[in-house]
Amino acid sequence: MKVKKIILGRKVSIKDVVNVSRYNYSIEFSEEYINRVNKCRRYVDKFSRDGQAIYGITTGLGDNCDKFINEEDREIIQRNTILSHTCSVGEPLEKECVRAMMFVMLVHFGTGHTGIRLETLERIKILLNNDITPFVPKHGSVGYLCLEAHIGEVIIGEGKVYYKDELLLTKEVYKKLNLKPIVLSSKEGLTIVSGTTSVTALTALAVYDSITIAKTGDISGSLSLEVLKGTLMAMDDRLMQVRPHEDQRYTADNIRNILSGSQIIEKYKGCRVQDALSIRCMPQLHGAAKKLIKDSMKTVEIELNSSVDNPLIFDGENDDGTAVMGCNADGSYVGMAADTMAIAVTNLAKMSERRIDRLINRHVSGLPAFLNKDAGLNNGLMIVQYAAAGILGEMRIAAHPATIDNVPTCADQEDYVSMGYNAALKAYECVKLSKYIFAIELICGTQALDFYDGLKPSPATKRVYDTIRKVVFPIINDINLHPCIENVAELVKNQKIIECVENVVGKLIF
Amino acid sequence: MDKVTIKNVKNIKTVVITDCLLSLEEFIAVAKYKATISYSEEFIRNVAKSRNIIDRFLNEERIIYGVTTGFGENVRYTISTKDAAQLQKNIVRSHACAVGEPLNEEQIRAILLMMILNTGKGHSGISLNTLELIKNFLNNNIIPFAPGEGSVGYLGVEAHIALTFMGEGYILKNHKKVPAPEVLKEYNLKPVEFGCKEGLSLLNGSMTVTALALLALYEMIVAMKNIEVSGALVYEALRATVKALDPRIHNAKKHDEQITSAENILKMLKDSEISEKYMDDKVQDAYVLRAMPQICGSCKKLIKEAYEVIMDEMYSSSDNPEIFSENNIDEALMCGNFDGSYVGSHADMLCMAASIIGNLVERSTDRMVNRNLNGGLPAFLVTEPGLNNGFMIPQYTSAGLLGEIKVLSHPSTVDSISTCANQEDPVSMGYFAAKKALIASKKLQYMVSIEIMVSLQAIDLLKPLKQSPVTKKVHDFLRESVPMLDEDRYIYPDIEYILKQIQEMTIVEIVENEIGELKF
Repeated sequence: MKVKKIILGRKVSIKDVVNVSRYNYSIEFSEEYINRVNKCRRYVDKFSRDGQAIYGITTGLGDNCDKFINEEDREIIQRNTILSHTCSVGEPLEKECVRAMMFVMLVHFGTGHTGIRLETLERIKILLNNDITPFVPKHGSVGYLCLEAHIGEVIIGEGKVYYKDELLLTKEVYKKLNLKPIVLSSKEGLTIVSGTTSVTALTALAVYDSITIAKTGDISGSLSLEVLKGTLMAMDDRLMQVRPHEDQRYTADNIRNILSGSQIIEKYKGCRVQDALSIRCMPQLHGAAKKLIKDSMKTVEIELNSSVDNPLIFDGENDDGTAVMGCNADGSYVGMAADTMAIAVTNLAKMSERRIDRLINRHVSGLPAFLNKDAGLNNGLMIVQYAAAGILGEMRIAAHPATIDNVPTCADQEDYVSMGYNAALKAYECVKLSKYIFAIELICGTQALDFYDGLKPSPATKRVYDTIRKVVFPIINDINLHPCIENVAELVKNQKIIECVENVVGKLIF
Repeated sequence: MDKVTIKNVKNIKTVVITDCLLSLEEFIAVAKYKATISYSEEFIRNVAKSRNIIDRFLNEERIIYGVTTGFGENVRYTISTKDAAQLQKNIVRSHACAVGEPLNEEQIRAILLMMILNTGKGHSGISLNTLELIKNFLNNNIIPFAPGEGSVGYLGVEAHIALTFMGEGYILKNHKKVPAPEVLKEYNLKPVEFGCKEGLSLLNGSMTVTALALLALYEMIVAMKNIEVSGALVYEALRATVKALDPRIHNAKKHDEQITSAENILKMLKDSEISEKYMDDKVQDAYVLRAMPQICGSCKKLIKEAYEVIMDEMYSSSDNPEIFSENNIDEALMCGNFDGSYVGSHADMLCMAASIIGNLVERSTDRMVNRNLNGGLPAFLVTEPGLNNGFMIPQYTSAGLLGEIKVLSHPSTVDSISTCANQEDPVSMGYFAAKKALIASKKLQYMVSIEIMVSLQAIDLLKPLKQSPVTKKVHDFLRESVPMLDEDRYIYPDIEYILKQIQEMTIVEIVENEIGELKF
């Protein structure tokens, strides 16, 4: 079997974050990566020896930046930085999020501007490649520091890790694998806790999944349009040309492609003058949401390939380095992108929920009540829409922005904070919830197709039908629906729905 | 209104259910601390009586919603007597649509107990057999698997639980899903075959909203009581003038909770050398200290209002239809008593209270660690700042938690999404209101833990000045396990330790042993 790996040194993508965090790709460092890390480290060592005042290298942190730290204390202060920052609390963060954080650390810290040592980066790499996941409580961050410190703790051989599904002391696991704790050197503790690690990691995962959701939305929406005897007139390219938002146009293209060759569409052409908005307006709303997701994606990709530490080290004159104090560690860019994404995904879900209602609601569907052949005794697909409504309610609250909030910290030295972490965390949760709503729309659409005996759906929606029917049988007598929803949600998340459509119509445009 | 008290929770080991009117303490003792329950003879008689009525109605083929008709918008279909049992199976199976992360042990136990309390008042027609099984679930700590996302106020979550009563679905054992029949067998329990109406009664009521709201209510009271103790510690740590607690000030405003808050804090600070010394040091303190009774009081008022409504809901029958037997006339009335708006809107209010008091807790924490504001104590309260970060970052944690609580304070019950082909055209959205109130209350408790941790350090730095005898007891107790911070160490376990003392009410107990119950 081909080993799936990522060699660090060049630009990385959101896909790389997902491959490492979710699919366990292994990591290697390129020559280029190693060389730039080592070069930058030599500068930091020199600063440390020379003793000029550089934040976090020869001084204390935060409001303590005016305190000079003696050379003999500099290892202690790095250790202190980690220990004193381990303040996030509550349930642990999901494994894939912690792995994504460690991957982002390798990318951010290895840009050749942070001065971290190769040895320390090697340790993070070993943790990732050996499936050792630090225990990181997930609440209580204003954008950086606290969650990151819990990973730092593991690097220095303390705290707890998940290893082979068991929560163990880091010490024990290190002993088993013959690893020595890292003794952090000047600046390293600061580098580990500072930056936009957690914000970027969680938002990257959320972006990736929201793209999946947006594409799946085109498919589930097309299926709904088909079974609701909708018209493709509203997808006419002339309409799109006179309102040239490209994502709107691409959505219309996708819907026309997915429904091409449908006998149902053909037969019911002209059945209504125009459809309800949740059907007719798909290109406009899906397009707008995709635009926001794309903007967020661009922001995250730039952030991923950035140097976000403070201070940053640059080549200076005469082979010397120079340290520049700034604030690239701020999480507002990504935080706002995450807030925006929660809004985008909630909007997609909002429309999907209305289509679900339209599918099961006999007053508007033209289909049996709750898509049920034996109504009355059986409830059929009555309650799946309640589930969608409940989830949407949760998502709406998560769509309330986090980054507009502010609580000054660090004796007013950090008088403004990004709150980007809370934005990222809720964007991640929001996207995670949304998959259920699209799963429910797909289940209802599939069930509705069963009422079209003799009329063929489009080749693409037929493929969706077959894919769903492998895990959800036609619902005639009431059954426990929960496993059906979970199974289809998995298909959505793993892009199986997108795949089966793309096998017929080629790549959906995003 | 009853006095709000949670003093005896841990002493209650058994609860006998008669009229279903439990105190909050009894409810929490069962849900959280696993007190066992039993039924009185009167309870059993009442339940049997209403069951007989509904059985008779079925035999008479009366048209009653959910008994001889379909559900929701399917009410237009009549169901024959022979299908009555199948109808109940169907409602449970088809309604098990909640998804995502399962609810935890205390949440499920609270819902199980609410199922008993709600259906056991003689208006639901539930069978004794079913209630016996639920009792056995509670007494053996059998925890049905019920995913916790996707409810508009009822149905979806409850169905997962009811499924296990039928011997379907899953039960959680050590966080793993085990098929229900296996676990039932292990405990020698037989699944029930629901009679008419039973599936409906277990699903359509405000049981889950009320169960989660009761837990949230309790956790908010726990947080609030600890916040007053923490407030007294902060008064010493920041050498605030106790003149702001003068009863004359508070009697000038007619809010009881404000008056008793000031009284509570003042009592705790009695004979504090620190307070005496700094009585006239400043003309007045910052808002956060000076208005502590006003802010604490207003939040207690919100909590008390929520208490009243949530307890009333616990005392109610929340079902549809409901069975009545008066003046020799038995009747089933179709109604909207299942609605969760009362509890939901007040759970939203609890969440708001968490934000408001959270602002106080976080700002107090900042003021203690902030060298510009803490009246000459070292930066971040550590003796060698620079090399040590001391209590720099716990305040960040507090800020991050507060940020989350604020987002959660966006009310849930203002939302509505029509369901069931517009038969249920507004819905309460009370479920998420209750769920997020519980989440917020626990985040608030973490913030209080940080505030207390920081205040102890500030107080230690004021030595040799002496604390009040009461706050000293709290200080000394916590210092046995959380020593003073002279150099940076792993702070996380300290926060968790103090949190535990907050949740177990140990700190409040220490205070109340000295000065009597803190007035709420």
